[in-house]
Amino acid sequence: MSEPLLCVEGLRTSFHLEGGVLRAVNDVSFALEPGRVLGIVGESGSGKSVTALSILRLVDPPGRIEGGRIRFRGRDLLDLSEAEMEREIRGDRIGMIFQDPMTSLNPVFPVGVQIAEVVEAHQNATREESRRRAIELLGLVGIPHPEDRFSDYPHHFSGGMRQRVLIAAAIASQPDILIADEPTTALDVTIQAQILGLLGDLQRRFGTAMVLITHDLGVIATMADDVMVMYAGRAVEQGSAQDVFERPRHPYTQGLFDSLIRLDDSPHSELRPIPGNPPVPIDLPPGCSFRPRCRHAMDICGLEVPSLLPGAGRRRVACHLASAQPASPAA
Amino acid sequence: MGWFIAGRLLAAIPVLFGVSVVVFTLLHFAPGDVASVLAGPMASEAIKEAIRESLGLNRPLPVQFLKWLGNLLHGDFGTSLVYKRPVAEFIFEKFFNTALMAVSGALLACMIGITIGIFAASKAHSLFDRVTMAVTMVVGSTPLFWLGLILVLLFALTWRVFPATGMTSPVGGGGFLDVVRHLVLPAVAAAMPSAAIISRTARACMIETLGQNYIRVARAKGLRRNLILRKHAFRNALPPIATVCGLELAFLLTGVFFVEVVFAWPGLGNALYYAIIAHDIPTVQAAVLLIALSFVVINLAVDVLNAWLDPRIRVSTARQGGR
Repeated sequence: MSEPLLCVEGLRTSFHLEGGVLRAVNDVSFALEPGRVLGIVGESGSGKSVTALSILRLVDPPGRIEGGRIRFRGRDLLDLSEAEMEREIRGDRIGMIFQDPMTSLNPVFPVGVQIAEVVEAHQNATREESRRRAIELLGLVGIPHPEDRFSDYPHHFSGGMRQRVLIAAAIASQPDILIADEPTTALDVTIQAQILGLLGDLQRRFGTAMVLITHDLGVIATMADDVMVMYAGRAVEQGSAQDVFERPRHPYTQGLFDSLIRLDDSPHSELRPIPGNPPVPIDLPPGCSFRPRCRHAMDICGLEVPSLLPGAGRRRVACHLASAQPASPAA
Repeated sequence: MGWFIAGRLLAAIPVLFGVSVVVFTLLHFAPGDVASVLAGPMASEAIKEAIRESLGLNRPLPVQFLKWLGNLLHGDFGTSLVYKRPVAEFIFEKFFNTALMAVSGALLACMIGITIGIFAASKAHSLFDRVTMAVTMVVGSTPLFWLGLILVLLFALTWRVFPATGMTSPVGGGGFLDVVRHLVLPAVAAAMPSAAIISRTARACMIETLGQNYIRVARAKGLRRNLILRKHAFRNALPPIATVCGLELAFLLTGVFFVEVVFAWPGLGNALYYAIIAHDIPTVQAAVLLIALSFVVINLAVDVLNAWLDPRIRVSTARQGGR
C-alpha cells in the first residue's frame, strides 16, 4: 500500500436551513492513493456530491464545512486561503468534471477559450501557447479536427462532445487528482460508455488518481479500484472494489446489489428494491440511519451509530451486525 | 448580422408610418382652433377662413396628411405658427440639447448602476447589498423634478459648486467646458432614478448568472473570483442589462422634460410645452415624431446589440448569408 495522495478525515459538511441542520456529509474519512480510482456510490442525497465539492471547497452557503481534515500532499486544504485554493489546487492539482455537460460550458465563449483559460490561469502561458495547448487537449479527448473546432461555441456540440471538452479543461494542468461527479448520468448509454472509456484511458495514460462519483454500480465495477458506499451522509462500507462486490457486508450494500436487474434473472422475476426511502439528513434519529429499512435491525441499532470498523485489508464496515459477527457471509 | 439589421430596419418602417398617422390625426382632433388662435379673439370669420385656406386646413384630412408626409420626406417639417420660421430650423437644436442631457444621464446611469449591481450581486445578502438595494428602491421611485430641485438647493444655492441655470445653447456660447459645467446637475438628476433601476436589474441578472453550472465549473478550474465575475458572469448577464439601459435612455428622452423645466434647459421639452400652449401644431408634430423616431432607433440598437452579444443568434444569422 503506497502513501495516500489525498486523505480525508472526519469530514463534516452541513447546510444550515430554516428547517434545521442538514448534515450532508457526516464524519466521512477515506484515502486516495496515487493512480487509483476511488468510486463513491450512493443514492441521490447520500452526500456523494457534497463530499466531492468539499474537497475543492466549492460548497456554497448555506452549506459549510464544519470539521475534519483534507490532507493533500502534506497540506490541509481546509487551512489554505481562497487565493491559494484558486492558484494551486482547483483546476491545477485537482480537476473536476460535473454531471450536466449541457449547462457546464459558458454559452457565450468558444469552447477552445474555455480550455485555454485554464492553461493561462495555472501555467504562465502566453495566449498563443495556451491556444496551442487547448487544441492539443481537444484532440486528446477525441474531438475531430480540433484546430477548426477551437472557435466553435458550445451550442455546436452534442452532450457527449461537451463532456469531452469539459474533461479537456479539467485535465489541462495535468492534475494529480480528477474528481468526476456523475460524469455520464446525463448522457445516452452509448455515449456513457465512450466517456467512461475516455476517462479510463486518460487515467491510465497520465497516472491520474480519480474520485468517481456515481449511483451506477456497473460504472464502479468497470472503473473503480476501491469503493466507498455512502448512506445519509455517512460512509457505510469501504474496501477494494473486488472485495465489496464479492462480499458486500453492510445490509445497505447488499440491498443495492440485490436490487440490480441481472441478465440471468428469469423474465418474470420480481424486482427486489430496498423497502422505504432514504431519510433526509435533517435532525436524524439516534442510531443507524439505515435501521428503518434494514431487515437485520437489532435493539442496539436504535441506540448507537455504528462506527466504521476496520476489517481485513482496506475493508471497513459501519454495521452492528458486522461487528457482532466479523465473518458474516454475504446474503 | 447584416441581414438581421436590414430586417429590423425594414420592420421599423411600418412602425414609423403608424406613428406619423397617429401623431397627425391626434393633433387634428385635439381641442382648439388653429385659425382662431392665430387670428386673435377679435377676428372676423372671413379672416379665419382665409387663414384656414392659406394653411390648407379646409382640405380633406387624408390630403392634408399626405401633403404633410410628403413634405416630411423632403425634410420639411412645416412652418412654426408661432415663430413664423421653418420648424426644421430650430427643432433639431432643441432635440440635440435634450438628447445631450438624456444621453449623458443614461451613460452616467449605466456606469453607476452596473457597477453597483455587480458589486451588490457579488456580495449578495450582505449588509452592503441590503443597504444599497434599500437606497436604490427609494431613489428609483423619486420623481426627476424633485431630485432636480434638491440638487439645485444643495449644489447651486447652498454650496455654489455648479450653476443651476443660465444654459442657453450648448453650441456656440461658452465652449465645451462651460457646457459640461451646466450639464452636471441636470445629468446627475436625470441619471439617479435610472441608475437605481439599472442597478437592481444588474444585481438580479448577475445573481441568476452566478448560480449557473458554468460558474461552478469556472470556479473548479481555479479561475480568480474577479475574472469569473467580469468575464463569465457579466458577459452572460449583459443582454437583459443592455435592454434595460436602452429602455432607460428612451425613458430619459421624454423623462428629462421635467428636468429641463427645473434647470431652464433649452431642450425639446420646453419647446414642446410652449408649442402645445400656443397650438403650434407643426412644431408639436415634429417634436413628437422626433421622440418616436428616437425610441425606434434605440430599440433597434438594443436588438442589434443583444443579437451581437449572443453567439447563438450571431452565428445563425451569419450562416444565413451576411455577417
